[in-house]
Amino acid sequence: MIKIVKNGIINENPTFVQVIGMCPLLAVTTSAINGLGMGAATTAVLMCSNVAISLLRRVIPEKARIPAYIVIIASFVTMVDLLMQAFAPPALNKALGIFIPLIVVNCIILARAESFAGKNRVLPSLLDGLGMGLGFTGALFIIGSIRELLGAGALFDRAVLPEAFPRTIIMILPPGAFFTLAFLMAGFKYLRSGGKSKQEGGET
Amino acid sequence: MKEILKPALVLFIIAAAAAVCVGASYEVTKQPIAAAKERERQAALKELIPEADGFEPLPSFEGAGGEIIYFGGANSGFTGEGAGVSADIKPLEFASGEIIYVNGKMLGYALLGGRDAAAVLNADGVWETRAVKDLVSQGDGVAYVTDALAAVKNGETIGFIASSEGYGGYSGAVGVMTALDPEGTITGVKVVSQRETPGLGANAEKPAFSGQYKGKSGRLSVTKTAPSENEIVAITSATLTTRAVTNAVNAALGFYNDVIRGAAR
Repeated sequence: MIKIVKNGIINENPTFVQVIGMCPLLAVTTSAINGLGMGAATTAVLMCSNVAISLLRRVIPEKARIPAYIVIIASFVTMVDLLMQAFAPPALNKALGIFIPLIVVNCIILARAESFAGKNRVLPSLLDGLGMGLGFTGALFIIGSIRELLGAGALFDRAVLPEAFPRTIIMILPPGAFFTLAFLMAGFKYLRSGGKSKQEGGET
Repeated sequence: MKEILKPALVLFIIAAAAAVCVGASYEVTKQPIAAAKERERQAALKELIPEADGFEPLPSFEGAGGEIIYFGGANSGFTGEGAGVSADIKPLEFASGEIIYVNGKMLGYALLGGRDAAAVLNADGVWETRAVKDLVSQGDGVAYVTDALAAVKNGETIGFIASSEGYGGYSGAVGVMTALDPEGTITGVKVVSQRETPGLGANAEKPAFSGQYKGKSGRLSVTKTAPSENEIVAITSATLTTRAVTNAVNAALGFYNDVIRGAAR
């Protein structure tokens, strides 16, 4: 059970290993708090949608499964969005609400439905959603923190670097996301290979 | 045949069930969402003019001789610049209550059903309907005044709050509330809705930026260097957002000159 969660965080980390969900990743990781917010919202939706898909996996016809997944996920996200606007505490809605519509176009959700929830039972699917969500949240948080620190000299909106330290505006612009991602991905790969820097030929 | 029909049928059922669920949750949440929005709006008003003990629609302008236009949902009535041309004021019946401002000058009224067309007073003093895109040129600062309220304390008007939406930003309209004192000087600006880039344009919501507007009046412009009077320093890497906010504030200032000041007399 724990293996499934760990799988999402490390072995198949959606950002650093699978390299999916890049669109929201590039767009929202301008600050640490944005990364956390998007991650938390995605994790919640991912767990729910995995459960829903897993429950319906025997009903959904094999040939029309992708449109079925899309319809289910999109309706699900829309409902979560509406319910949050109506009933969530204002502070929570303000923090997470803007990220919910972005989740509809997040391919992590569809990818997990296709490769896990559509073939597995409910509990493993829930845990897969949790693991993948945490892996995604961690990646967003790290990238957001680095970009906010270098780009705005702040962390969680609080200035931490001295005024004299130069701010690198490009880090909070889209290219900054690519730079940060590249370094982190290289580091992640290095760590996962156990510190060996041996080239693994043929991998793309 | 069956191979095609069966998946299609199941997909149809799933889609229909999903539609029912989404529709149901829309119905259930409609009221609470409206209530939550209203609470948010009240909180924003209170934040801009904390001394006020109430916010009231502007007094109507009936006496001024024109027809009364009602703002969209807020129902606050006022007559516009149409005073004196009441015979030809017909198009205003179709006005949504939003007033278009271009570079801080009133252009006309947005029509019901959208912002693509507007009722505009032509050179002969006759109202006519024109496409908005024909009336503005590249680089014009377009904004719509959508609502205006008087802040009241002990029965006395201590200020005004105009809501406006400025265009020219990076992503759609930027909604701004502008608080003015009775003399038309800005006492506060709050960005209430925007979809600008997080970390750049979205910084317009921060008081460090919106505080710049305090104490200004007249027509404002955007600069990237040291500001002189009536200039606003652009947010780094978000000049467009700054322009959109400034367009909205200019519309509010224009609205004060055109409508509020006239009413106060």
